[in-house]
Amino acid sequence: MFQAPLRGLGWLCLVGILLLGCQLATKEGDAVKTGWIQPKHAKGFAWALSDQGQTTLVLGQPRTGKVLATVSAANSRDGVEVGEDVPHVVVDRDKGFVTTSTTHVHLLEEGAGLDGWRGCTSLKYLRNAGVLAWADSTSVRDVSGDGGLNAEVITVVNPGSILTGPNQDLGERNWPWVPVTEYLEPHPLGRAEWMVALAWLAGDSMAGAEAFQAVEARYAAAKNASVGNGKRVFTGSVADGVWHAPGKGSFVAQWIEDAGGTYALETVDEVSNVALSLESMLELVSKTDAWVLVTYDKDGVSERDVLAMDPRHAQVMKAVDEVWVCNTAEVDYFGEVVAHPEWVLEDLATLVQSNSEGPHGVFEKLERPSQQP
Amino acid sequence: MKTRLVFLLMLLALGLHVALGEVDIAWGELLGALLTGGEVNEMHATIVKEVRMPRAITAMTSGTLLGWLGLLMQTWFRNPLAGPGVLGITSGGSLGVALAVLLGWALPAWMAAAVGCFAVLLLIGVGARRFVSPVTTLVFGLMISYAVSAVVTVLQSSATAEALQTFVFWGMGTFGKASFLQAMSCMTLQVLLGMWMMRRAQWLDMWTLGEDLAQTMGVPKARLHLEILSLTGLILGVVTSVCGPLAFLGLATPHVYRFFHPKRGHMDAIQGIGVWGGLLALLADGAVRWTDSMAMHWPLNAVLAILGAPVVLAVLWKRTHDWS
Amino acid sequence: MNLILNNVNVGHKHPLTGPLTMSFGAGGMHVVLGANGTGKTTLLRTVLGVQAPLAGHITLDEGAGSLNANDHRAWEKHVAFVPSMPPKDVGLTVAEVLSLSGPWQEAVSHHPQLGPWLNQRLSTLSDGQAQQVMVARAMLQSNHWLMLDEPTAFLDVRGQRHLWGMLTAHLNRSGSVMMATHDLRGVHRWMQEAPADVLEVSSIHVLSSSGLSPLASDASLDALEVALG
Repeated sequence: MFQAPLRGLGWLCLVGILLLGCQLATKEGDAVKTGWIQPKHAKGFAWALSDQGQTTLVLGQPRTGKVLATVSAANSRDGVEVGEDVPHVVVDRDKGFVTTSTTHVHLLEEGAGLDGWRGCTSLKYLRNAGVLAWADSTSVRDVSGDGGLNAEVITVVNPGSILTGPNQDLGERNWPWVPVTEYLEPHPLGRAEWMVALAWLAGDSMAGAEAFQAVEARYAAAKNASVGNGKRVFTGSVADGVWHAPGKGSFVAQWIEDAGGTYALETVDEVSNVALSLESMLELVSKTDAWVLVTYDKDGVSERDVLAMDPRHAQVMKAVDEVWVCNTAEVDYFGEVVAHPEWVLEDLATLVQSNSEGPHGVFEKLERPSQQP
Repeated sequence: MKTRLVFLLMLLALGLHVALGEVDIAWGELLGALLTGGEVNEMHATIVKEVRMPRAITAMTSGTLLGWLGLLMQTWFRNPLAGPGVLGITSGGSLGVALAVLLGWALPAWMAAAVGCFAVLLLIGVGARRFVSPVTTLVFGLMISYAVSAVVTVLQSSATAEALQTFVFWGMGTFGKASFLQAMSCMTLQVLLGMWMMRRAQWLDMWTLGEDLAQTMGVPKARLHLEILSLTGLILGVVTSVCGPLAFLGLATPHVYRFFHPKRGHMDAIQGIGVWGGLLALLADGAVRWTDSMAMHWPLNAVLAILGAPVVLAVLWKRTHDWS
Repeated sequence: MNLILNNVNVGHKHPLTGPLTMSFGAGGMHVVLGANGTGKTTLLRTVLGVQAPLAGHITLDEGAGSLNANDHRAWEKHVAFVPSMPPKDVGLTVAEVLSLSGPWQEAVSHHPQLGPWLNQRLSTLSDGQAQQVMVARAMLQSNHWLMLDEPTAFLDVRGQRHLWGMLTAHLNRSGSVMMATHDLRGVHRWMQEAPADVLEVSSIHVLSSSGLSPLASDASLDALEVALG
């Protein structure tokens, strides 16, 4: 008796779901308009100025251009045209902020400073002694809890904003979520430029802008100083029988190019990671000069460790002259370094040009006992 | 009687969940916050009413609902190892969330889970006419679970690390994301299901005597099948969307009841399983909140599995002949 | 209330026999013999209303009115079932099982042997004891027709004797019984032992693909064996 109407209802729901999906598909970002301040390198944020002189921070996804949220101290975003379904987050600068990533902490420290820092989910991942001491002395609270954040602690801390990622449901509990997408930026300076946005959020955009200017200047200096010799460099590693590496549009590739080298994966224009078959990778490897591997090892990285990661690395190592390692256990690659892209650039430049370790110790040359004649 | 004792324990657990937490709140303030009128620090009131109460109520009602659904599944399929997940509806919820999170749709997880669950429910409903026996429904549910797992794995392999993390966290299950409204919906469903089960208790008892015999005693098989599927689908859809996919509560609670209580009639079982479900869920959440405070963060499903797996093993070990 | 079959075809998709048209008199003991696989259980399920006939009607008539097998709610008051095997793994007590169909006190008054078992779980009883409970329960459900499917299959001699005793009592109270079986010896022995003036087998039919063929109700064991083939 129920079969016919049930079937009809079933089809209706399927159609409804499809329509809903289409509606939520990513849209193209807005083009540059009057009344907008665009950052120089970053693509994930911009400021909108209304006629009344109100500034609203607009946050989006750097790769797709989709607008995630608008942020300001005011209750509405008058005059900012970003579409009805984009949520507006009201932040109270006086009440400080909560971070959910070590990168946030360092970007803030570089710019506005950590005065407003009230809570953090990654206290145990922080490595910088100065930051840890600060956290200790100002009793920054650990706000992590099951399923994300501990609701009770957040209620007590009552922050003015909570820095999070692009996948967060911004309506959850009506908390002041601010989606930060720095890790999706295609240019290393774009990533660092987020210190300006975060400084604005913390209430001292001047400090952020000045800090970034200095970073930008040092980066430009390092870039100009590097004489391109076109040394062919590639990065990535084997996992699950496939080579994973950033594409030519990623910030890693940009770094290598800026350092005077050539990013070996020329044909793959992706911004994010790509997977290549081992065969095509080995063919590529035969024409390259240096392999840069980013990995984590508390006891230091030796040749044996690299082989232990995957035995096929042996073939890769045979084909290249130099193997360089960035050991994230020793270098805060995901934390401090994000705010200082010029360190990576300078070290990469010495790597490319003089085949030696740079001043910041980001990359170390791998000893190859097997290569000794 | 024993059920009364368990009921009191459950209330005690509920009280502890509201009274204790990261922040010390005095008894006077607690009562003031709950009964409005009385001097209460506004933040404390918020914590009690918006953080602790929804969580505790969600835990308690979810435990009861899942326990009842587990009883329903075990009676209907005449199988002591059946649980609410057997119909594949929870898997549908996972698929919904996987699609939303891993493909980057801007849908809140609870909505995506609800859509996924009800999509599977519709699928079952459309095909239910063809299911000749409960066994066929069971196999259908299993096949859906497998198919969904396959699709989810494919989605996972091309997802960003952050999206993957969000999805994995959703799969761990939690009572802490429920809003007050969602907690109240669960309570409403509890009243609904409780009333339905008490009305159908006699039919369910008859069903344990045998499918054919039950029909000759007046149990309308097709209608009962439809009611069971609809209610299970609806309730499981809501609970999964509010808490994520919860393991073991549905399967293990009826067995815990049977271990402590001799009566097998459904009227008695409904009451007993109702209070045991609430109590077990509150205990599990207590463990989760305690590990939270020690910065260890054990996920809810892990705690439920640690509590639940031994129960299932005990069932298999004992192989009692009067489990139903 | 006589049980009447009118052009009934039983089966799932194809009829197992030709159309059946016959009447089973109220108050009698009717035996349907058949080898395994001839469709005894299907016939029973159809008469019970669990399975719809492929064609025809099944009714109970009582003077002016008649009851159709489709009318489940009314039908169940007059037709009750005892499956061949007592249910397994049932945790309900004997009292609880009986209560599903009527006041257990009534059952105990008719069958005092159930008294000591009242608080025991059905699963703890022996097959013979459990079968007695199932028969008593069926008698609570319906005062009229009892349908039994191979009732002696899982019983030892003592169990069978108890069973025949309960059925005799039912017939004494103006009930009717239809039994599907291939247990010739048991039926024959009971026919011999039952006091002829109190009750007798009202009809014996053999079920085959051609239909239900009647045999003489005082047929000898040899005749029964021959008929069964």
